Amino acid sequence: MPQPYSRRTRAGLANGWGIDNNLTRKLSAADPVQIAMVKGVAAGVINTALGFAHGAQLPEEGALAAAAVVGFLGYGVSLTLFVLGLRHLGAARTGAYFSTAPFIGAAIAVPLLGEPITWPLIGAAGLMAAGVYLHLAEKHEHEHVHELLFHEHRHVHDMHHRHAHGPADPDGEPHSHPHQHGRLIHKHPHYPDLHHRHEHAEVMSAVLPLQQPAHAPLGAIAKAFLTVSVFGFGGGIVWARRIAVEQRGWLSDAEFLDIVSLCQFLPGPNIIGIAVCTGTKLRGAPGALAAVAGFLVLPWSVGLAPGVLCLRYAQAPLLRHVPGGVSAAAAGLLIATGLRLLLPHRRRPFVIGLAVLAMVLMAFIRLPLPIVLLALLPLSIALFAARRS
Amino acid sequence: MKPPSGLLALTLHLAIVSSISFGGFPTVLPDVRAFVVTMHGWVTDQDFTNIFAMAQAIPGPNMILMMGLIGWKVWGLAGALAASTATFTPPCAIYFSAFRLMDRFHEAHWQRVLRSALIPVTTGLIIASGIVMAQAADVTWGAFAMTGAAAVVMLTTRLNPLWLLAAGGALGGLGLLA
Repeated sequence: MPQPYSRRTRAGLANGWGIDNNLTRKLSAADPVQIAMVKGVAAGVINTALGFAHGAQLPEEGALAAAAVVGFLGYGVSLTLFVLGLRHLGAARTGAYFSTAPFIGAAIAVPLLGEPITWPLIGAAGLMAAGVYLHLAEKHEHEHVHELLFHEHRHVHDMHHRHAHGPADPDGEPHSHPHQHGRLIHKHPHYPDLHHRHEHAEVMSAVLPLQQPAHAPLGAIAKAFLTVSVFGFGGGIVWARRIAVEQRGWLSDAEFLDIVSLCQFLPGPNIIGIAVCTGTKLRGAPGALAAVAGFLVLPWSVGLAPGVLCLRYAQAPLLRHVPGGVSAAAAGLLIATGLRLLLPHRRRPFVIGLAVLAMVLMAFIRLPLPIVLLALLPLSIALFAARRS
Repeated sequence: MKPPSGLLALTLHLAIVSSISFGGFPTVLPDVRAFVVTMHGWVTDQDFTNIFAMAQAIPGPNMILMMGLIGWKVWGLAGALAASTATFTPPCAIYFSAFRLMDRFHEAHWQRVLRSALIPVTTGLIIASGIVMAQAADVTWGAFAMTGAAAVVMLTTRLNPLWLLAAGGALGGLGLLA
């Protein structure tokens, strides 16, 4: 592919992007939608004017509408999320995460567009994965000071917003009015975000490892997920909840549900996701490895042998299914697990209504999972948000 | 034995499809079948179906074992290890990273709203998976009663679920659920 710009121009462009990000971070306390609009209007007007100056014409209406949709997603939504990222993660980290986007595109192009897999692509993907891992593995925690702060933003009265309200301040939450935060000294994991721009005097001694609960030995985690793996045909989630919530008390029902929800959105076998997340929650990366090892090593090794033997000797069609009676019972266990997780919310009719809707769309109308999630999640978020305010 | 470059291709292909297997690995099985049967001819269609049936019948991680058996069929133990590893490693890395990220912003307002909003959707989907499984088993009044009884016992007692699965297997084997 011919390169339209020289190396020097491209280096200049990249530097300009970095400076732009750092300047935007200084604005990141402001409303991100407003920032996106101001940047969009300014850049849009200038670029359209440049286009007309070079003798360009307006495209067809259909193409114009399509371009507007792409612009809304690729510029508006993207920039709004980007500003939120700057606010919480700092400029360098946000830039690094943002730059994974072309790699996601490249990875999708392989199965969808038949792009060849080349060694440079594999090498680049490895570097990218290592970079993202280093970002995620970073755990920066130490005692630090927040100075007295007076500002205005949307907030609810959470643990950082315990201030008293004057007569002029608005009712209902979330709301926005000027308020004060006292001087605060505390310790928690943080990024160099808007509120954590402090200097590090003693860098090395300040970086402390994450505190882990002691009551979950790695062996017990591995054993728990070995059980889930072996007994879990058709419904590992039944066993995961029984062991992690009921028997061991490692997780609350709410925490377990959070993990299941997260795994539903991600690719791969969800039950391994539950193993990885539970292990991580209990003991960090070693916990995740223990859970996956318990889940896989023994059942895989023991299962491979009969599989290989059958493969060698069976030439005729093999039609061995789990007997119908076991499936019927396993189905009942799954239904009971779902109902039990719903039990704490039984007095909230809209939660029950949404759950029934999800169940009908999935089990009776047979819509694919991503469609059900995309259709119901915005509705659910809107209902919960409306009830909070 | 097939050339090892084929194993590299299978490993890479499995790593990619497992990274995009939203809704579970079975969603990308048609693609895997096209790759190993139609495109490369490493296993026959009959082999593929047999391996699927076997992996379903053996307790444990079905899909990972199934990919391992495909790898075994062509390249032996090295193939089994490589194909299985390619199937579970990318999703595990994604689960790990996503969980760390979620955990970091656990107290953020947006996350609390998102977490509550997911409760009804996720529980509804778990119940739905149970119903789909009941529909896939033989649809008889006996099987229906077994499903209902298992759900009620599971909800009201702390009986080990293995007893219920064993009861289902025994009643089914005796032909009492037909």
